[in-house]
Amino acid sequence: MLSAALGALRRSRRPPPAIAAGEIVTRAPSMVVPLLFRGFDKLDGLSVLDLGAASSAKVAFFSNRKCRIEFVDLLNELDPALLSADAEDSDLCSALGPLLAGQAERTVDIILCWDVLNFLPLPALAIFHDLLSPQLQPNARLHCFGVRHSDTPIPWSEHAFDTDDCITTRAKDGAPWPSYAHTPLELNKHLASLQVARTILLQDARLELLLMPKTSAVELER
Amino acid sequence: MFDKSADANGPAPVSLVNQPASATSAVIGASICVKGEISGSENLVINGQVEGSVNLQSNDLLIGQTGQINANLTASQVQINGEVHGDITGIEKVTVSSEGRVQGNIVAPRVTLEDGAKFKGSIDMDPSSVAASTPTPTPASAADQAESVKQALRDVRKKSAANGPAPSAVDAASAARG
Repeated sequence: MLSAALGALRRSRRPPPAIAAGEIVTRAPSMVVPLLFRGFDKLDGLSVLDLGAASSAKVAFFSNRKCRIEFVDLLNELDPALLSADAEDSDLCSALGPLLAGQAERTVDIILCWDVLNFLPLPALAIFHDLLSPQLQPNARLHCFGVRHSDTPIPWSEHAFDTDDCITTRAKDGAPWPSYAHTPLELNKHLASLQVARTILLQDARLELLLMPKTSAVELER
Repeated sequence: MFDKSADANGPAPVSLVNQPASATSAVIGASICVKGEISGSENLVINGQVEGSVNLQSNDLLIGQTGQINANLTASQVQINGEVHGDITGIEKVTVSSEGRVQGNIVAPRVTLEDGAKFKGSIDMDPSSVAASTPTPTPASAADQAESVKQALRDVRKKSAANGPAPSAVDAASAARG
């Protein structure tokens, strides 16, 4: 009896099996996704900037909304060496600038950051904000994941909207970058023109966050 | 040429790359290299290399697996099984298959990106809004913004060199905002 219990305990402590890149890790409901589209005068033609890789699920999700969606796979395009402590901020500016430039005269309604911000150190976060904030529409939304405590591990994953209220997480290929998990307080401070408008605690102790410009006139429903 | 009855999110369109060209579709073979402007009123399969532009307003275009395109493409339905560098306009639909690799912007009312497809650029699924869009305030280009942040970094560093310890990027970024 005791040995069976010990055996079960040992089995439960085994590391989880390795998950191949692209395999679905979780499919979890989201209470934030529906809020992304609330309060806009016109849903068709919204401009979306996705800072992750393009995927069939993302395109299928937005095809119902006649959006203009631009994919900038920041974790694939950016050299992680530029984020190290001894890198020059001006070099990071030069690299991030063209990536976030987008099309001429572009303004953005929705930014999907997924976990990208959790792989940018605080100084890079401020530079990211300064490059992007002039492109934001007055009622823009920024969707991202954060943490309650800075020591929360950040998985190396890719995300996509599955349905209107569900997010799929898949294992991402490549070597994981060093992570700098950000709390809502840090995001409020370093994304200076934005503020956290909604926070949802997820099952893995991380947070799903919706940020909006401080000057936005839109009141999200409680 | 393509199965026009298929829904955007339905089954993948049938690949015509290995099928013989019919009387109504022209084929640019895998060993052919074309530089210039291609236009016409029949369907086209490109298995070779094309540099320039392809304009088939009311016909369909298929880029085969061996196709290498460095051109802007316009057609009624466009299916990409090969590699495209350039902007793609689909009057009806654009499909990037699992073997397809696209770097450019896509404009079409229906766009399908199959699992495994590589895409870098933007997708506009509301083409009407592009033509009818009203001018919006032009934000400073990101290059300009990057230059302004860099200039702020230099200014803050100059001041700090004279007054005290080196500034953080956050201070400099705040200065750039100010």
